[in-house]
Amino acid sequence: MRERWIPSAVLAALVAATAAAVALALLVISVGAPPTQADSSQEAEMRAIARELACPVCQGLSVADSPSPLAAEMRAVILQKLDQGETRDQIIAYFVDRYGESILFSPPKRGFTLLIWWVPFLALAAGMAIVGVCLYHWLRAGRAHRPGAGPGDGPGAGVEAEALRDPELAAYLPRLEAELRRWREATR
Amino acid sequence: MDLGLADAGLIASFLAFSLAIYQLAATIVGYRWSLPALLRSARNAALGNAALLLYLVLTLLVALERHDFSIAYVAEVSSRSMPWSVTVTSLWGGQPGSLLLWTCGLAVFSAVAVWRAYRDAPALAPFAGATLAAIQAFFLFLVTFVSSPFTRLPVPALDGVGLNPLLWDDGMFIHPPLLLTGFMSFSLPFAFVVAGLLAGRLDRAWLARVRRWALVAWGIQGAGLLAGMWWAYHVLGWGGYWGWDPVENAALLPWLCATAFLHSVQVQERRGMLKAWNVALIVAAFALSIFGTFIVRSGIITSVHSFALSAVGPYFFAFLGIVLAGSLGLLLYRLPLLRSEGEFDTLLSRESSFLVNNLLLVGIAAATFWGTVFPALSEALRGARVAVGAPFYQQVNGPLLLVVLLLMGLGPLLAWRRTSPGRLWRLLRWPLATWAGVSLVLLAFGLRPGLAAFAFGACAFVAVATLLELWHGAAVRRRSTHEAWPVAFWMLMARDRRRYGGYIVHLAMVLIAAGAIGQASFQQEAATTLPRGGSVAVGRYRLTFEGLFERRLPDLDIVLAHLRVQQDGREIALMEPERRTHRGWEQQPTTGVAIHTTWPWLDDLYVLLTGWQADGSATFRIIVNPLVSFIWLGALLFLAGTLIAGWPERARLARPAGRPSMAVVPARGPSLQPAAPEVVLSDA
Amino acid sequence: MSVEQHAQGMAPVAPAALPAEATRGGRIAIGVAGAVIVGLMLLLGVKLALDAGWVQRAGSPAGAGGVISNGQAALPAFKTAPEVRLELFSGGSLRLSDLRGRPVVVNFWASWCPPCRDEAPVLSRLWAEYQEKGIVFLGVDTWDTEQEARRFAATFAITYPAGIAKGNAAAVDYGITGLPETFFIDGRGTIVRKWIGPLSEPVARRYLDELLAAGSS
Repeated sequence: MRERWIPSAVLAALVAATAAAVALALLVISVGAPPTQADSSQEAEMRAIARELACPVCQGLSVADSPSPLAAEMRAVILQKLDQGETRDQIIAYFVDRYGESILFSPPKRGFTLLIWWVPFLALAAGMAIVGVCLYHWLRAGRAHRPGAGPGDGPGAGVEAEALRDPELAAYLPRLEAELRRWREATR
Repeated sequence: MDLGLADAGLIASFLAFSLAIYQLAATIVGYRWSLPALLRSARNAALGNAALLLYLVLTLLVALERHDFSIAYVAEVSSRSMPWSVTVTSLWGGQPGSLLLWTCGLAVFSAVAVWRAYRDAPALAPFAGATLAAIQAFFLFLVTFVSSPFTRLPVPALDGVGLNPLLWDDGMFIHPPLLLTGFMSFSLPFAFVVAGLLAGRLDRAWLARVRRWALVAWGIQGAGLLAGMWWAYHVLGWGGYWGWDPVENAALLPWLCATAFLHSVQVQERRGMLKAWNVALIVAAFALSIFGTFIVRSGIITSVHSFALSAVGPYFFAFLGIVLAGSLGLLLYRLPLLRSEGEFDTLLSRESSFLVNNLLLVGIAAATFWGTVFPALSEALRGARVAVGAPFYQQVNGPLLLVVLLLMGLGPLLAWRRTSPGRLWRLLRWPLATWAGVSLVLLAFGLRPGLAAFAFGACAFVAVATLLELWHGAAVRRRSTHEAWPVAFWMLMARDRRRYGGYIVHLAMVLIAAGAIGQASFQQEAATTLPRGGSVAVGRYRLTFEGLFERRLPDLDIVLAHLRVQQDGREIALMEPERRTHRGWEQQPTTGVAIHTTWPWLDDLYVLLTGWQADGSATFRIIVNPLVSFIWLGALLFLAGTLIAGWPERARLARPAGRPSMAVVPARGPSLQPAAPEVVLSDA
Repeated sequence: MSVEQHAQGMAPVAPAALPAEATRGGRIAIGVAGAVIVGLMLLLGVKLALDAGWVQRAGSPAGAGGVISNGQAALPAFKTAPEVRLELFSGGSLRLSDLRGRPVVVNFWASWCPPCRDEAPVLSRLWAEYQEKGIVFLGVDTWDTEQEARRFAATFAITYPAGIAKGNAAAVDYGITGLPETFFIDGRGTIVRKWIGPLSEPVARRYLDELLAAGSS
């Protein structure tokens, strides 16, 4: 009964070969690209800063992505300031001074806006706690209900035959039959 | 009689509204006083409403085609210079028209659902019919009295303003109607959930009905989201396909709830657990769909997708409040009926994996919802505006999505109730080996960041795990039937569509994930100004600017640039990015993105012409997006998987035998005895 | 087991968890969810009311909803007007700092901007009147081509100092988000008023008189 779940050696080799081919394809795609020559490091830096600023006129686009003339001018200003040696923080502070905090594409991690970062984290933690509590209750109830059965082998045809041979599985047989009966009685 | 189209429209919409009210009243009265004739008439009223709404849509379409500029809406969204195909799409180009399309879809789907419910599930039908009638009445109220597409102008205009040229694209045929239908279709599982709660009939047949409508809504919404991604990438031209814009998020939220439901409903089917949770998920999906349309139409959160501010906002807000209050109240009232029946055996089981799946999906939805409403909340509380852009969502949802991806591979390998560690290891070892192998090979060849190698490995893990499950299933079939492999696969899908359709959808998600990871991690960009003959190298490609050309069409000026693309010295393409200026819309030129997918590297070369100077030089924005084609491939596979999973099976069409379809069945009476259907036992 | 239980799909085995406990847990969950939803709806309702103008925030000028609308705008955080270096159409150059001591009106415009056309005659008319009272108008052409700008200036007979701001990004410095925008600056170089959108004559007069009054006190 257990053999059918082991893939044949041939299939295993095929799977491994496919995986290797996939891996090689991916690596060639992504790794083989030499670094862009046109994008100097200062431009890359400008783009990185521009990605952190929201374009004031086009909704939802960063200054890096926006096609508007205002965004173009902002990018030029960033480059100019980088030339003059200003740091990322200074440049961002300049824009916040000019346009208010809403220019930041991501809310700053302080003050009220810290809330935006904390709430999802707390919600997820609360969710995990709830799931944990539920699992605990349900598992405890399950254990109380069962007469110490051993590990099963999962679903499959021929359970009945196996159960007759295996006393551990016999405990499941009445439950299985009850559920099958219920299943048949109802519409799907 | 000299009835203009506007008059016909106004009369018809008032009629439809009255009919919806009648349908609601007749259903309530007919049920309460056991009058099958009234129920029958209510059912027919649903059909009548569908017909009326179709007529309304047709009328508006005719008005648009005839350029009837005495109607304010026609004068707003269409003009004489628009080609006829654009005129058709302008039907849903403005707020009142799109609301009408939503209502029409609702009427048609409701008619189908109500008709089938009265035939197959008479106990639920009155409640479902009443709920759908109430929702329809609300929308028809808006369409008739608050934001009608048929209001007249005091003086007919000579020519209309027309649709923004950005929307003059074939994508307008697909993306908005799909999404409008998707949003609307969440009303249907909701109606049946409410029906089940009201009637106190929360049995298997009810659950199957809810589940099937949820799959329909989920499939349509998913298709709409993918169509939107395609459109953003190919037409809007800002370099990406998903911007975490508030309206995009609003479309994603009900879809995530429905995805969670489609998984946890299996726990309810097999173990009788998570009943109240599943009800809550469907209510949440519907509420979020109303919330989504509220955002778009009220201007409460600014977005690229927002319509101009209209008066419907407060009405949607009130409706949302009523829906939530009513649903929560109903849920509270029926909580005793939704008690869990079973228990969990072990942690290592499919039930537990579905619990984790739900936690993650709802967590992603909650985080996305929070980021979407935060600007509005901040302004309400502090009066200061904040922007929540893509980086927030990427940082919060990214890790969660990765875990969901991993669970997609692990979950199907776990059995119901319990999985022995030994068996799990036997099933997992090849996928795990693939994961490790792929990641290590990529890292060894210098792929950085390392997280990307890990993520690609995870994609391979899920793909191999799912493919192995498919293979196992076919192999088991062959052992008894001795069919050829292709036949075995086909019959496998045919016999257990839900499961294997679901696996196909998982594979589609893996493809989309791989594309998204590739594009996010390895995108390269350059912005330069090139003189004629100048060239620039981006990635492994060299683009040479040959010159600007101009093309004048009757209502359109196109300036395009010729760029020759070379890869390793060999020419592979000629790209023509454009800037289009429509006559009358000179302030808003649109870009025509030039995209070329290279083979075999599967990079997308994405070029925008951002400007040009008098001396003939031009400014370009050149992006190399690796693996984006995987996303579109995944989209196709998603559609295939959804169709397989949702295709009706013969067993389901069995009807209750020996029962007149319009008999009123008391809520707590004996259950229907269906004729024994040909039940196909999938894995127990 | 009764027929009713069958109808409701209940299992033949006794339910696992204590019924009262499970229902109470469910009630708590619904209660928490309800509270969260009520809170969110309240805040969203406030935002809706703000946008619709039913409610106004104390201290903010009218129209400061979610969208940038025409009219008087909140003053920027920086009080001192940034430097503007204009290359005048009439030749030569002019800097804002040169005009220290006199009230200045800095107007950002462009030839392709329709509201700027509405505003230009108003400004020309007022320039003739207020020039001798000591106020200087500066027209800063933004995001435009020189040829078109000159043509615009000629068409609307712009005689006050107007030109292109070369060398510095005056538009970004002033934090403008659209055209036209106008800044009223007093003799000490402090921004007193900011107007988004085309100026109408009564509004412009009111602010100009305000500048004069402040300057003389």
